[in-house]
Amino acid sequence: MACPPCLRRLARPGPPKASSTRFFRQILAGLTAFVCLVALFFAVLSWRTNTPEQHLNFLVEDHLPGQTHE
Amino acid sequence: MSEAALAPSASQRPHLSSARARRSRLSSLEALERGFALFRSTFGRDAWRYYTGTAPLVLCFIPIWVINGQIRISAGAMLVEAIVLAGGYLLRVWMVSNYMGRVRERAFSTPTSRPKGAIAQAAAVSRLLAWKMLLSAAALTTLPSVAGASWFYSACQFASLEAQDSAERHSFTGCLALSSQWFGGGLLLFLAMIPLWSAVWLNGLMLAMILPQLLHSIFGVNTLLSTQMGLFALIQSSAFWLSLFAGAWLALDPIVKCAFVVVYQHLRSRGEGDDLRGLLARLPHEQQKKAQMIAPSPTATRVVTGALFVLATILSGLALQEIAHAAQVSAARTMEQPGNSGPQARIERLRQALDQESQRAIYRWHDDEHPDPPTWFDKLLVKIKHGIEHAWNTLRNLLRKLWPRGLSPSLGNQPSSNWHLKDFRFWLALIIILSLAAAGALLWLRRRRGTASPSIALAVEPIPDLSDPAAAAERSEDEWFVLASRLEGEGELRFALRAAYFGLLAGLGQRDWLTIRRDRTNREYLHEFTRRWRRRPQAVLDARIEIPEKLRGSFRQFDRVWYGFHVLTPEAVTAYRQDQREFLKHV
Repeated sequence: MACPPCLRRLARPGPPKASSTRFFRQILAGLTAFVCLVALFFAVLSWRTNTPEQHLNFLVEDHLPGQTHE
Repeated sequence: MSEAALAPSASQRPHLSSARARRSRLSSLEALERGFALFRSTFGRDAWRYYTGTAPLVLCFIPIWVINGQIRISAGAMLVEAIVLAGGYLLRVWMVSNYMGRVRERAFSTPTSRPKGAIAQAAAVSRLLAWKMLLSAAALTTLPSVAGASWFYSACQFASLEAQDSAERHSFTGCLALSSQWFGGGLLLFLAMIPLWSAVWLNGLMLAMILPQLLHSIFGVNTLLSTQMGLFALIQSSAFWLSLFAGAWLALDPIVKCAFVVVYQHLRSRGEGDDLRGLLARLPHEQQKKAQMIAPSPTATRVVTGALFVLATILSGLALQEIAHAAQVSAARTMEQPGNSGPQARIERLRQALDQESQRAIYRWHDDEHPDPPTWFDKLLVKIKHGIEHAWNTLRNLLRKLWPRGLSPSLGNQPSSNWHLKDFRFWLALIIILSLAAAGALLWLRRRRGTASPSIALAVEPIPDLSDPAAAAERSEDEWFVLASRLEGEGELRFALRAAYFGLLAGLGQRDWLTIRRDRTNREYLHEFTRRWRRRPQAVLDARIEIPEKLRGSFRQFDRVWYGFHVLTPEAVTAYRQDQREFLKHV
């Protein structure tokens, strides 16, 4: 306890008392956040599935003029 | 040191205190530099936490992104994918928070108290996830304003450190308050990170674009990406851009995390008055630098081994190429042998079919007889070739002029104009020369540093631990003052002041005016000294109350510098040291 930093640390309020209500509230908030996250990912993946990319079509350019490939 | 030197007048006080606060605040560039050093020093032990946490999310998200773009899947499967990705995000948040906590613990010796019990841990994870989600969403929402985004982004980083520490009172608003305290620095750091992110991102882009072309040009490796069509496909792929973004993010994010660890410790020390500079000086990075100075030989050995390995790889590649060439020649000779006409006719038919098939557009990049029109890269190579040719000719002409006429080197058997830029041997020789030059330069630098360090190590006596208050009793008064003047000469002004203060304590302790103990404050030392001073036999004749007042002034000056934010000058330290010696002559 020799230095001012230690004295300042002592003067600060301690951690809140661990109560089951507090834990329950925090876990509920976390579960809500997790569900929101799942919904967000689901929305992004749905958008992705419904709007596929235009892929390259090699068959259009493969045939040279006047050539046929059976 | 006179009191006026340290204590400004009342009218100047507000201005000086604000200037002092500005000077003692950690700048964004310093935070970034310290963060980078912290990342390097803790990479071997703690970086796996970061990468283990982030890899699953990235490695799941990109394949899922690609698959969902190609295949239409059911809503149930998509829900499973979303749950997996959310789990990956949760793992990332948890592991990154652990990583930051461990780095802070290792660097600043500040143990983080973990929640005990499954319910407490679940509550901590839930709290962390909720805070991170809210702050990330707020940062993304306020991104157009930049300042708001940086404020929420900094708070989000502090949340990783605050949410898991159960020993102190932390809150969501506490993270925002910490972010407000470093708002200017956070904004500048955020702005400084944008060019860094962009630079890493551009490097990745250039690597992805140029590397296949270089492999094709130098080694003749043909890939889909070395064609124009392949590049076009790559640019059109959103998965490629996502991977690029993820790569740039993963490359810089741990450094940002370490920078915020330093900032967090700085803000905590501002609140509590810790000696942050002393803590930073004890970082593993600094110790590693000292260790490197003492023992440079293992690194040099590693450099030499690496250079030899590169050289051996290049030479083995050359040998393999020659073997493959010889095998091709022998196979061609075998095929050209006259004899049975039946197989020969079949071979001819097969060759014609192959020729016909190879006329298709998608095989053109294999075909040497139908080269593509020169691209910008080919034109660039031709320009470089002309430039190198010109420089080489100039150098050769210069050397010919300088070369003695009687001597004729045997290297010039082949005309120099026959070489091509795509010639493998040319690039091989260039790589070997550059590798040898780089290895030589590295060795030279390492040896120069290695020869310079022992002289420093021998000349300088190790500095005692000045952070321990009881260290004052370990040396005599004169030894402390000698150490103070030495530290002052080295520019370590705070430690010089600390040594002079220890000299004062040691002198008073030797004269039995006080007893040095670790658990005593300066106020207690002052009370003890005043009590004994008043009880001395001469006090009846001469009270001399100015002596305790002088000691009170000395302690106050020291407290302002060591525990406060007072900025020292060399003159102030010299005056303080001389004042203490003078004071000890009167007691």
